[in-house]
Amino acid sequence: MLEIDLLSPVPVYEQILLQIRAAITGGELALGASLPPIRQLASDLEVNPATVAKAYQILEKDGIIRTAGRRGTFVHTEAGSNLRDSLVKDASGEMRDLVRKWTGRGLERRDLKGIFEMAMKHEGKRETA
Amino acid sequence: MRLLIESILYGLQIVSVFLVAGPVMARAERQRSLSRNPGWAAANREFLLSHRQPSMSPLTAVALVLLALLAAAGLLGSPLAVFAVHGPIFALGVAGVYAFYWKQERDLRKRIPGDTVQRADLSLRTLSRFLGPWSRVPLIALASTALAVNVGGAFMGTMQTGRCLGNLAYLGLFAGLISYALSQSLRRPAYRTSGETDSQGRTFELRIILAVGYMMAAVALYHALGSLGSNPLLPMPPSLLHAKLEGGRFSWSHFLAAAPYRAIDYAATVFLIAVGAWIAGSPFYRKVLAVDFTKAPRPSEI
Repeated sequence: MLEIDLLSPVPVYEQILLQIRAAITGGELALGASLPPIRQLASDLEVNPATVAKAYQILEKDGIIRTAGRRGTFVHTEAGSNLRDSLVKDASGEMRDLVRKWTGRGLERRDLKGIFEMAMKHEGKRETA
Repeated sequence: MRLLIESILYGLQIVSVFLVAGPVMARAERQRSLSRNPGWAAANREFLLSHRQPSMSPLTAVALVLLALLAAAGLLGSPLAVFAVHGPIFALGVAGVYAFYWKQERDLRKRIPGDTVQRADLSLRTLSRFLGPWSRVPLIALASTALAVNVGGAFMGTMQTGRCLGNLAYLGLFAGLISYALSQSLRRPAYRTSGETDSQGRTFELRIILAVGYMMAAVALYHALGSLGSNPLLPMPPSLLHAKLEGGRFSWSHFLAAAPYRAIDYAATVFLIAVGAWIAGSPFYRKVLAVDFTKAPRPSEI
């Protein structure tokens, strides 16, 4: 089930695509499963069909879903690995921005590396706890 | 005597549609309008209390007018007048009342702001998701048999071509209407009361439409069998369309008096009475009508 908060600072199309990704990762949507048509989802969410279309376009570009014309839209059979690739790509982009930001403020790269390793250790402890 | 029995039967049909099923459906649509934003409705208590129930006056007024017309037609002793009330005037009454409540609910929904949180199911809505194959396959078989009897009869020369074309025109029209109704029920936005209610609501709607489809397919097959051979077992009188296609004469008095037509008419009337009772007694509608919006229920609570 998708739940969209229209007052959220996160754009609606991004909420849609993030939740579809989460549904695939969480097993709610199986590989190869059908997705609702753009008009049906837009009508149910009371949003513009162009908003849903944008989310679907991004997901298709990332290889998470595939559209087969009149036959409909389906979760890509390679969605699992494509999701990982897409997450790696997003994370890499954010990491590069972070490195640029903090080196721009005067931190050394070795400082950043140390901070990153500490953060990984801290998250690892949190998970095992 | 026949007119008296018919008047009682048609009167029950009017009561079932306008006074039994009609109020239930009108109230359920009002609940659906209010569920557009339950939090807002509860916060605007005055608005909620003044719009909690739709007016039943249109339903009552149309029912009383139809019953009065039916009584008058019966007293006149005119089968054509009785048919006019039971057929086209009844249909106009249904259309008029539907249009009234549709507009009223549409105007009300414009006054209620949309909920800031919207929900949607991520699965594809298909007929097979709501109705099992054993409810659908026999309908397709029935309609296909009607089609085969018509085409086969015309091909073998046991059915007049004009009669075949008329039957196929009706069959095509009914198939089109049922297909359209089924697709609209699948496509319409979800009931916002809850996902469970939406699924139940859609299943119930689809079952009603399918039941009407079975009725129409049975009538089409009955028509087809009643059009075969020079001495058919159940000779169907030509309808107005058939008469035009066959180039024959059409007589209302002959058509209305013919036993096969009467059988279809009575069956359809009893069917409508039963559907009215089915709707009024449906657990889905009872669940929808039980929701109290003064308490701002969350969808998961319904």
